[in-house]
Amino acid sequence: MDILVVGAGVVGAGVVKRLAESSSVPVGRVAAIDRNPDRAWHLAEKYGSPVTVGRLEDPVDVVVLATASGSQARLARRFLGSGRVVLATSDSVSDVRRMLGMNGAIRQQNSLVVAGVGMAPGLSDVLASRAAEEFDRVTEVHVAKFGTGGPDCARQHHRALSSLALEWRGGWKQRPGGSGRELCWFPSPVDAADCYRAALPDPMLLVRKFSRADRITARMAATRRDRFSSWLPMLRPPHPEGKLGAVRVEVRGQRGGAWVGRILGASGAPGFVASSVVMGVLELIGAGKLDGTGVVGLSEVVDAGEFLDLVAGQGVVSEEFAGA
Amino acid sequence: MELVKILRRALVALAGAAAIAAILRARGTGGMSPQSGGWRQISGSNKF
Repeated sequence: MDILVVGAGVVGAGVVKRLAESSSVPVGRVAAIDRNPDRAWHLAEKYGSPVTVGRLEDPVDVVVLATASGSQARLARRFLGSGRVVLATSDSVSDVRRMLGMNGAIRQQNSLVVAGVGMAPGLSDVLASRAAEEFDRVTEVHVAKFGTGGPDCARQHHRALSSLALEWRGGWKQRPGGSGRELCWFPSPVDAADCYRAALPDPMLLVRKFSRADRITARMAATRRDRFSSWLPMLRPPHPEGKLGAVRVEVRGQRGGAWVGRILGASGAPGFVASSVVMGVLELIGAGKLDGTGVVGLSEVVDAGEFLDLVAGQGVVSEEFAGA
Repeated sequence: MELVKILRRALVALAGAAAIAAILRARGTGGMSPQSGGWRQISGSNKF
């Protein structure tokens, strides 16, 4: 399997590193591209075969888009080809909306685009799917995430907090980003954090799976300073890589006539979690277990239990909150 | 005399607010969030 990794930031470089060391993904060639060619050269020199410097025109089986959010819908269109799978890690609402809008064209090209292959969206969708497995009816899905990956992810986090949030309440509602504070408990070492509405694409993907739900929301953790400064340009350069991250999904609904709720989560550095999710999907592709055409969310094409085991094998363990 | 009246009004207002808060807390319909518990690891193959 030939793989092109577009973007050599925290997530892209993490995927290349794991592919170079992996025995679970049948890799033929791993080609890396970045807007800064030195980064791709550095990866090729560091890992050697099968990692090489790629070109946009390279004939590959799978393309992993790990560029800055906002650029991936355009790139996904560029990489469409018969039988090709494109994995988009973007957490931008505009990227996901545009990719979903390209569904017809992508089907015609016999390609598969998986939108949201990261911590959230991505792992969050699969956790929601897993949590809802034994429900007769799902009424609410609430996603919260903590932390950012590399600098581009931090910039997207900053933009998301000052943009309109999308919520599903039997129909789409727009709410101001930075509103709706809720104290969420994440798996350790993150623990409790205040979370706010933000422009996050999770509801757009989750509603495809839980179309009968009454409410689907997404929040992200932020500080009071984040909220205050979200409408300004970033006051200081973003960190090279966020070391602390977590995702938490709460699903409510009915089972056997009773109202029940279930909370699942996972923790890890967001860049690490995102590259683990990409590796999990690549393992499924390598095993011939991922097929289809068009644009889909991750939870629509994977078996939740099997996928969580694959991601656990990559070092991201899922957890359930058991409280009373 | 005026100061005592102000103090008395402030105390009555505080007592009223505390009483209302206590009633709302006791009769609130928001449900009780988990008071104890924690995260436990799960595996994909486990049934809930």
